[in-house]
Amino acid sequence: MESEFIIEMLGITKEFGKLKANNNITLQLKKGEILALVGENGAGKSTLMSILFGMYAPSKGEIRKNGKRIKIESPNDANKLHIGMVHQHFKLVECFSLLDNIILGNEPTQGLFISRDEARKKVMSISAKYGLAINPDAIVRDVTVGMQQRAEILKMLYRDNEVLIFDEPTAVLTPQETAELMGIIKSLAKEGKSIIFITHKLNEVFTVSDRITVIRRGEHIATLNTKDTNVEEISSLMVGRNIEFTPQKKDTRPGENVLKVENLSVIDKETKKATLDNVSFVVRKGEILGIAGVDGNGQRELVYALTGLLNQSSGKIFLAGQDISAASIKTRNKHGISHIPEDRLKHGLVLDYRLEQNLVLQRYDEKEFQKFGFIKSENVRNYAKYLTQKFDVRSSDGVLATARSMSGGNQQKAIIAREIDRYHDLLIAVQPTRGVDIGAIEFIHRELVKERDKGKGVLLVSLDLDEILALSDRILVMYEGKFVGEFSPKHTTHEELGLYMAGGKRKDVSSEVLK
Amino acid sequence: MIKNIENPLLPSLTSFFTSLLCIALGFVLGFFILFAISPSNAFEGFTKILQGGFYMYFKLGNTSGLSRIISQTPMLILGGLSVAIAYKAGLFNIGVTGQYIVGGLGAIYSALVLHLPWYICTMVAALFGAIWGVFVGYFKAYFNVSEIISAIMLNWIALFFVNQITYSGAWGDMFDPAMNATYILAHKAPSSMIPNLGMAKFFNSNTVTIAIFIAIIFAVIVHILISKTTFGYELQACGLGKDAAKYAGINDKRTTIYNMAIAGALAGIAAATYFLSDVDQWHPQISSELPDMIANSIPVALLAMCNPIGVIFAALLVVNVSVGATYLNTKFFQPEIGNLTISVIIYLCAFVAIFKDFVENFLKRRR
Repeated sequence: MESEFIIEMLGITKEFGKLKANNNITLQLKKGEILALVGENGAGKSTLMSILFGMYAPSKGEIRKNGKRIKIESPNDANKLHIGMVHQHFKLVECFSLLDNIILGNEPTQGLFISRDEARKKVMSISAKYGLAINPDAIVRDVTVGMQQRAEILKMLYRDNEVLIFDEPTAVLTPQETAELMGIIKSLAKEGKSIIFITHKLNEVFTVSDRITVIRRGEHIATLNTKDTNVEEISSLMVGRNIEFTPQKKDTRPGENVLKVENLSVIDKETKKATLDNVSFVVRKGEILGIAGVDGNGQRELVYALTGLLNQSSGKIFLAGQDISAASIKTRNKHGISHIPEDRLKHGLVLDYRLEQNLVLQRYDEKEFQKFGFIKSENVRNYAKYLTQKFDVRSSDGVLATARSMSGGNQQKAIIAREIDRYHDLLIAVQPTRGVDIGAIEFIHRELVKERDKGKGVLLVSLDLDEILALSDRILVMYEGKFVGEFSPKHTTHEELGLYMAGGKRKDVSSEVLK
Repeated sequence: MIKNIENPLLPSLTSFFTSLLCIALGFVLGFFILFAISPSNAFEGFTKILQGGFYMYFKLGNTSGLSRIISQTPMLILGGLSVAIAYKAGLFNIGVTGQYIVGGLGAIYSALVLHLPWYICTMVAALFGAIWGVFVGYFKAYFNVSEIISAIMLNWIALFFVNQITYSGAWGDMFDPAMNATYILAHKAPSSMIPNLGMAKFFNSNTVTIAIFIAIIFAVIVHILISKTTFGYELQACGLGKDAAKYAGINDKRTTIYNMAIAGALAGIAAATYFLSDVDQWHPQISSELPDMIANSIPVALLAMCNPIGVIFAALLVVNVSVGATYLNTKFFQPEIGNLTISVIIYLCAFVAIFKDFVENFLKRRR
């Protein structure tokens, strides 16, 4: 019995208690095709893939390979069936060489010893075949994210996997690296590998996939041929309503400076290198200044220096004319900086605090919420109820739910509600839509534009170029701790920004920005 | 939009029943251990442990066991509070022993040498303990020295330091050569003893004082401090999410130091309730080991899941079992069997997470 499909997941249902994470989902993967699996956060994509990878057992339904019913009870079973996965967060041993990482768990041995020569031969031949250039002897932490990802892909191919699952592979890549990856994925499919590609980014789906499966709230909504559909249709299928991609933005004229930064530098303690190298810029009232750049080019240091999380910086920071270079985090918080942090789980929330407690994270000591050091819990609760209603933050137990129990999108909404509602002149938004679904992205973008229209200064730091281009009034590109170009979103393109982000081009910006 | 607000008591109910479950299982295991050692005496021995301080009362109608419970529990409640409040800020206060020892010196010195009234002696003990706690907090906050390492070292420093000062070559004002220990307060400084308001007469033991009420009041104060104040908010934010606390502008260094000062003060007061009630004296020559009863503060706090009110009951249980164990027939059992039972209970508490799910599901299904 020869089947058209290499993998079929038929009528898969997975229940966690009362919650149906997957409800009768069917997913069929043809041999040699690229199938995009799309859906909002919490739609059940990861659950479905975890079932295929043997991490969960389905409550109902069956899985077939080449038409034959199979049982996958652990990731080992998945490996034996030649199903492999590139995880969003790479699973590499930091201090091992790439070669050792690739063969780890599957080392060719001679007696007690690993025969690395044999392994190297096999790895390099695969590498050449698919154009996956790596330096096998480099240590993981020394190579680029792109090369780490290629090593992850080689890991799958080294194990002769036929079915390859990519879980949001482009989240960490530059536009150039992304384009490269798209090429690799296509060539893998051409060589007969069957690929499931999970992503949030619909433009990638349309570049690379043959078919698209959309799931929403745990249910299979549609499977379409990519050439018969378009971005609008897929996104409305994902969310269940029409989505506004580019937020409506009126032209405004920015006012006076909210933030003025002069010669700000941060020196890394260990390497003694400047991770933030003498930058100067301003943010004005009523504008969104977008900072574009590949991860790790000094954006984090910039944000930490501005918010006070890092105090070993030199240079001057003026907030509304006042020098805050030496001020404490609390002073900066109280005097006009709101900060949507990059890592909401680490910085944004005390995960085991209730939602209501998290919503007053910087304000618990204000008159409204305390008297003689005693917290006015009723005021806290009422304020939390007001905020969650106004910003539509949802959780299972209202304001009493712990932050940990909330979905990523609602956690982010809670942080945004808190930061926008408290007193501020400057809003620093770092990756505000990372890992949240299309519906929440639309909401967050609208809120940021509203902030601008209210006359606040907004500093948007994002790795997502679409986001930068859609929201910013002005764009600065960061590369190796410096600004290498200033652009107006109306007069630039992905490609041009990408070139600057990769360090291929630079122009002197400090003079024109500081005017 | 706010739907299905859960019973806000559910978390504490869950914790309560989880602790009960641990205790019950601990006793069952304890029984098996007794059974393994001496099957024919196991049942009798086990009832003694269970009855604890009440054993003598049930048997002879005498209150000696009860008075031992009442006089030993306050120290353990306060020690448990010390560990619990530190833990709320994410610190493991194994230094409770050292803070207790130094606090004890403060109490004994201000009683025997300075003849101060009991409440001043208690404050001095609290101050001494707080200073010892601040060392740990300071090193943790500014040099990121593990509080466990520095506290263990400070425990031993405290022990030998206090031994030296109380003994002082047997000529000091505190050391009674006849007893080979510090003087009994009732003889040397009766005005520094914690008042008993007639309880001593009732229980026929002058070590029964109002210390037990002091300890309970402190449990309530600590409870309020943790759950109702901005300080408690900061404290727990540091304990539950250090980075988020920093992001919010909470001064984690200051919070750490204040917190260790409070924990140390509580340990110091624990010592005050013990020594100022004449429950025991300090034995500088024998005490080359750390006092073990105060070390039980850690199990007490763990058993109570660091709930200050729970600490009261956990301390009562631990004291009760260890008093009960002293009534065991030493021909067959060592009194340490009581500690063994406690250890088994604590060990089971390490599996709290598993039990917690179990209890939570059970409670939810019931409603």
